[in-house]
Amino acid sequence: MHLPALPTVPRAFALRQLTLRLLVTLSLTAGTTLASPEYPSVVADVVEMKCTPDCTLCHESSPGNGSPVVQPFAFSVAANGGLSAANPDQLRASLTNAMAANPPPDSDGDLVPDFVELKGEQVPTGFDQDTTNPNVPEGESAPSADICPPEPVYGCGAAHVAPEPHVHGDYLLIGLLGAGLVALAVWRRAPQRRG
Amino acid sequence: MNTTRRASQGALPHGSARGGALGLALWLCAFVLLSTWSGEASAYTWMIRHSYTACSTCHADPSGGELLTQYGRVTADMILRMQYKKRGPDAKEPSPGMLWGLWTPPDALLLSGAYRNLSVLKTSEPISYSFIPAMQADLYGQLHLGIFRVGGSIGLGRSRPGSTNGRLAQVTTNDDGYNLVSRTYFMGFDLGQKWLLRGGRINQPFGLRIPEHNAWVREATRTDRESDQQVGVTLSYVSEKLRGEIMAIAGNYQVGPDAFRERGYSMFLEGIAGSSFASGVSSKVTFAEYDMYERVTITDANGSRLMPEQNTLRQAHGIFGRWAPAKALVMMAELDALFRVNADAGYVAFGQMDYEPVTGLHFILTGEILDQGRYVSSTTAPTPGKGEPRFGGWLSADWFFFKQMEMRVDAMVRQDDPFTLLAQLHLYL
Repeated sequence: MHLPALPTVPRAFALRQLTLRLLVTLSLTAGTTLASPEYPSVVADVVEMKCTPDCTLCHESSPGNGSPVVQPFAFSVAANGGLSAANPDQLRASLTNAMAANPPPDSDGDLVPDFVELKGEQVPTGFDQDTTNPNVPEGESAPSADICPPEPVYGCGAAHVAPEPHVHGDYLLIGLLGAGLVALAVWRRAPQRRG
Repeated sequence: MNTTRRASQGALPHGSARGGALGLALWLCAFVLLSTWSGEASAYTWMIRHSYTACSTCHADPSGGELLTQYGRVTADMILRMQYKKRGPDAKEPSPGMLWGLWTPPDALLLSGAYRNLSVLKTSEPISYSFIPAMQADLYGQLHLGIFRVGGSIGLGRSRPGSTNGRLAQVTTNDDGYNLVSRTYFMGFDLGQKWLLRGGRINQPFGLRIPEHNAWVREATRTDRESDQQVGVTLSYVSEKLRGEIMAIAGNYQVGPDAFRERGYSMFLEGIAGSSFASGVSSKVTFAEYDMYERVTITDANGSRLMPEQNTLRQAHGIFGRWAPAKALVMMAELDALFRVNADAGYVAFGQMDYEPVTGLHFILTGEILDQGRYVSSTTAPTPGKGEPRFGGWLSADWFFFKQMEMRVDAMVRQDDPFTLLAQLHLYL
């Protein structure tokens, strides 16, 4: 991977981008009453990601409500249908349009399209992460950080998330307890037999 | 009370009544099984007003909660629920059978189930009213053969993504729909009359075992019986003047990856003075590589992003007490100091007064204070609950209006939360 030279941008395009950024920033930072806590789940669903992205995919910091929208990816999506707070349908439509766009959005200009990064299709083998960050160019020898924070998984399937081989502490515990209980039962019966 | 004799009285009624009762039972079973959502269970610490200082008299769990013994079922019918007519000295004793006396399992087998629905009214939210048709829909049981016992619970539940309730007890992994839920499963050995050794997924022994699973003392110490159970080994002791339980926690194996599992210990020890006062101490220490709920912003060369708080050592140490100055009045309190390696020290306190003017009807006043401490690297100002005290109050009415049936209404005022009115119907099989 390499970092490409910065492209030259026509003035009209730059003005349009500036206006778009201003509108998106104003519409998405309308205060906590217009928070959009479901947006990360919407992105994960539409893009078919393996995980739910962090708010910093679009916002300056997490949690996103109240934090300004500053990340290039948010503006790439907004350019394909707009973005505003508490409007998940609009987000879905914009994401769908952005995914179908030609050329595909590449917010960090590293020649790896944003949605390829979000799906984790280019994560080099040996790196334990599901995605890369479409706002941060890939390094020469290492991918950018995973945009998904580690999250717990619920249900018995969760017990098998640990890589193989691993020790099943629960089975070990139950086995030890069972062996102890059997030993105790044998020990309690032994005096009765002798008696 | 002679529960053995009572067990033999729990035979099926005859004739058409039998068919009707069977129909009612089948309907209830189907209703419970088809219902969903996760919820709370019951354990009534205020039973100390009737001189029941220990829990194992009425509950299969030596530290209280959920499954009742046959003696517990009879007791509930005689002194827990409202009595609409005076019981004569020669009145027939209630049946200890399940399904409203329809069937009495063999002495070695305890079976039951619980169903709760919930109505929630939050006055300051756009959609102010919501109805959860089944907050709890569980079946539970225990088989006790000689000194060996095995038991557990199974139910259905539905929790929204991000909810802290229900998900920890999921057996299946369905993010948006219904899931099989198992809160407890264990096997154990009686070690004489007073000691019990168990292994499995078990309620954590800590503080007051109250039914209000969302009380701050239970949430902040992560010791509710709704879904905070842990896999581990417990040793419990119950005598006339002392009871206690200690648990070696191996982690919740219904959550993964392993980095999120908390490991350590949890325990309580309670002394009993007379027949109306009991007080004790609790202690819990756990470590997890990633904290389940605390999130912190990490900033490095790759930008800033949200991560679980790492290498979290949590401690909770506290005292609790129950006192019945009169039969109609019970006061309970718990105070716990909270320590987290990445946060300032904090505390949580709970006080409750339960007034029962008529058998089966309770008026309950509850007060809470919480300060969990602020994350040490936080750049924001202290807020109520994190660096500053946060206050809460409940006013509740609890009516045990019929055998194995309860209705409860809670008006909750909590700092930084909208006024909330909760109403629930609870029945157990």
